[in-house]
Amino acid sequence: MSLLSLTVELVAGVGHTDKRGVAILRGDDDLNAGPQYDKIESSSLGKRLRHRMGLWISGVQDMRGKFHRFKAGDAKHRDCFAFIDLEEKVRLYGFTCHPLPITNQRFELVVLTTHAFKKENETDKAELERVVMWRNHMATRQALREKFPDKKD
Amino acid sequence: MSHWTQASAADFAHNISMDFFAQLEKRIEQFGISRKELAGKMNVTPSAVSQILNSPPENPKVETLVHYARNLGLKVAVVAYDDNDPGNDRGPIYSGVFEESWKSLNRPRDLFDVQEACRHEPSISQVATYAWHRNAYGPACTTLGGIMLGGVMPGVISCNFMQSPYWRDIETVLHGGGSTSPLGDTKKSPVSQGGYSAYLKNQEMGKTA
Repeated sequence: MSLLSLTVELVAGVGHTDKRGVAILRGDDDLNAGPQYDKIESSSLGKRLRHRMGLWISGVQDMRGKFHRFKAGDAKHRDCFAFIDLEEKVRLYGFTCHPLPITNQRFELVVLTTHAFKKENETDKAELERVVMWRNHMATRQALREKFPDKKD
Repeated sequence: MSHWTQASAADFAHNISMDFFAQLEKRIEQFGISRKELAGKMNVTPSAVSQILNSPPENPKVETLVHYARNLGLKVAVVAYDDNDPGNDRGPIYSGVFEESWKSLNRPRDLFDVQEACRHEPSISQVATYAWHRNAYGPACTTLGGIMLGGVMPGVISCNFMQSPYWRDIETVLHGGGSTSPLGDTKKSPVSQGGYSAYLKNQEMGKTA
């Protein structure tokens, strides 16, 4: 039993559908995507990032310099995901998952975990390792189960 | 909870601008156009192009949009639509959805083309009936019926079915299926002659096999 208690919070106002959604994982100091997003939410940067989340939710696949998976990398990081703003050199990292395998197998969620200011375009493996660590954490799985109870009525 | 663009008309306009420039970026990427090249056409610096693409203006003039689009060989339409979401809870529909829908109808030039494209679009029940009838003329079509109802149809029902690559694949399978069918040549069956159009016509005239 994990002592750490985390929460999964859907990003408000980005038009989630039954096919895709974007959420933030909160509850630990290392999970800095949430606090950073809160700071920029009402700024132009926040609006740009929300627009990109909306594009992804609408079904747009990877857009260079806007958001993407890490397909080209090794299998370990295949579920990692980043929303990017090149203008302010901000990256929000997270992972994709299907939190409703029984009731809505198709539903795909990006869970944002961490944040970085980064000028270079090269992938920072250390950031992806952090994402993978949080993705595999028991407390994360528990938080996802609580947010998305996957039981048929 | 309303969509973030519901806060103000300015936010909605900003979203339109970002949508628009995202479409331009797609075009630039598809055709491998360099930002330098586009900047040259527009008499601005490459960094100005980068900036407008990375951080689109919140409220650009329509003329600015047209200027960018024309330099990339594109045209622009401003579309008003009713998506049955008056409170804007679900947010605007991404402009790429309109573009893809238009392309899937074979890029109609006018409303007559739209009518024509829609006239040829069969309903699910029509295609199901078609598949069922075709099935009677060869076991090879049994699988096809399953594909059409279970896999292909949901993906193509919103486009001009007769023009879609799915349809051509299905036609190939249908007509090619005769050679593998132990029950004979499907090309000679009353339903398969003339394909789906003839089938529909026969149905209208009460001549269905």
